[in-house]
Amino acid sequence: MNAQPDVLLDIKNLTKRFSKVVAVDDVSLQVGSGEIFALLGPSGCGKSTLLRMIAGLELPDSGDILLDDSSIAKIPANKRPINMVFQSYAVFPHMTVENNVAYGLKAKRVAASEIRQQVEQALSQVHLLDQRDRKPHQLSGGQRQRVALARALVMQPRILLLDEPLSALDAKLRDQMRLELVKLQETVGVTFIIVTHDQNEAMAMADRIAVLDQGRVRQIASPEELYHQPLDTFVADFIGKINLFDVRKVTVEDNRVLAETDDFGVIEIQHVTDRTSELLNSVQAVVWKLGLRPEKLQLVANDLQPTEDTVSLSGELGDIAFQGVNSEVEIRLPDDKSLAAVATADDMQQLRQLQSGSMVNCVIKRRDFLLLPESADS
Amino acid sequence: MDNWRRSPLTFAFFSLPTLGWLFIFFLFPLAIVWQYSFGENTSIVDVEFTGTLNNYARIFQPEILVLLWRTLWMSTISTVICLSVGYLVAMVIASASPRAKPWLLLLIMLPFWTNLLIRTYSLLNILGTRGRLNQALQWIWESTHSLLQLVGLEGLMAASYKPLTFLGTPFGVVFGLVYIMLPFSVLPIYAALERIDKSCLEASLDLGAGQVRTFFKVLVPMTMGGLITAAIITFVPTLGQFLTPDLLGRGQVDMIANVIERQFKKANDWPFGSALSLFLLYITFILLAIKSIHDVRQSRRVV
Repeated sequence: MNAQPDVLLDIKNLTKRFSKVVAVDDVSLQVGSGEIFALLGPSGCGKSTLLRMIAGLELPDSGDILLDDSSIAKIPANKRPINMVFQSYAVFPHMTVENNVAYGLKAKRVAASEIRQQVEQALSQVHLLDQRDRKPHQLSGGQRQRVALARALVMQPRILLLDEPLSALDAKLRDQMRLELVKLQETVGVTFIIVTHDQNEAMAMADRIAVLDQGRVRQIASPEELYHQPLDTFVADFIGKINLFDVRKVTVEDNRVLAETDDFGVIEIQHVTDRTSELLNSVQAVVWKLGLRPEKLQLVANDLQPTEDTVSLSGELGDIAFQGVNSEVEIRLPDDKSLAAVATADDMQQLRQLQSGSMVNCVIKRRDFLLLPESADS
Repeated sequence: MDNWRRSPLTFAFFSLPTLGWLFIFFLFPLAIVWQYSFGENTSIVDVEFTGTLNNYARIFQPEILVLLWRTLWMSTISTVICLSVGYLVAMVIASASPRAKPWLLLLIMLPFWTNLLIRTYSLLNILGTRGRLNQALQWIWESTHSLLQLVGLEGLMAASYKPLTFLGTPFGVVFGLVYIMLPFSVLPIYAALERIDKSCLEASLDLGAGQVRTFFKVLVPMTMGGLITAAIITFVPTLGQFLTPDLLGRGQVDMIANVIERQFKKANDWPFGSALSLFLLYITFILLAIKSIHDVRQSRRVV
């Protein structure tokens, strides 16, 4: 990874230990100017610690953080041009909305008239101008979050950090706020770094996502790439749903990568990621899996024959979870494994006539299979 | 919380012991004292209840006013010191590791396990003319002196250490009051510190404020409730202290409670003692009223 010209934040081999636990383990990543970057991972993966180190609230044990090519790792939090929206919002309860937003500017000793003007602008950006004289306890959770947003944005930070920005909101408000945050980012043009455990949230908002697990970066890519070309089973499983099949052996013949399976015979892999070819060329022992996204399992009428581009599969119909446009269908294989498939509204017309336990057939395009190394510690 | 509204009988039953206790051992004696405050001594043992306001009028004679004033400012200074020191101690405990917290709190409680009289006598040992404090000061003085002698500047200091007098001075009494009242101010402040959202402090730093600004603009206002409680439960009992000024003040730094005690004992003037006691009670009531007005305002803002 070479530094692109517009790299704003460059994190190099950052490591942080808490007594014996390694919270962040040799993480390197780059965030470009003006992008929405998400740190995604299960709880305890070190994403919050990483965010707090960028903010300056934790000091790294080793490694460096560069902002515009100069190190900020040793600069205290109150001197960094980086601001944060905390998970609890951390709105000062004893101050009015207006004073909350003005707090940082007052600390910076900005002239009073200028403060008033900037606070007004920040409050109108988050649609809170008419709530300026209220105290935080008179506001809803969503409004409190806007106060925290305005309070950070008014400082005109180079980077805005958001710690689980949507987790405390109810479902409907969450969707609304998600759109609003993206829109706000487009207007102000500030680089956002968002920490989240919710893959949908990350996929919907971020330009690029770093998937973290146990303090390490698993993959950094755009949402599309993460979904269609995950580097290993952890990423594939964490980003959306995936069905995994055992692979007996992987061989390379004339630059063709072939996976031998019990379920489908030999499958030629179409998309071989760099990581995969790297692992195939190394002597490392790797457990391989074939991955298949649920929507790539096409439910068909019983009599359809597989062509040379497809393989087929049959199993018992299991539970159906209605989810609006599509439904998630469980298919139980003879060996007690169950697969997830997606049924469209049309499919559902047919499925409705079947009873739970009756046999259904699926067709899978050979090129839809993903070859994934099993992640070492998941 | 308003379960009692639904079963008032049960509520009455369970509150009966408390109410009974308060009535027999608090309200009833208080009523007697209140009655005495309107009485006159007719002989050495007899008091006649004449409804006179003379006892209250006597509070405003200069000797008593001087004592009241001294009581007020010494209590205020003790409270301010208790709050300042207590805040720091509470901050240390609140930021200690979860394993250390109970032990630190135990250290704060520890003095309660020893009798007040014994603790005050031990202060005599420390504050006396030949006490530990003077010994320590003398040691420092002599060390400095011999150091200066080495460089030939001993002329800067007097030849011998003259022990400082702590007992019988306001300093000694305030020292003792702070010593006794400190735990009372640590605990409410500690409780308030534990309740606040720590990320507010981080948010303050994140927004560019320094430690000092964060302390005065965020931490102190957010713990104001605890501070007010601490101030009241430190200040009010200090107003009524008589053992500490008696022992450490050597009768030269009397507070109002010493006068009250003397009315009931040596002076045998129960009516005047009662009037003084009630006067002190009124001051306390006014302070508590201010506190509850503050509370009501706070809760009204919350709703």
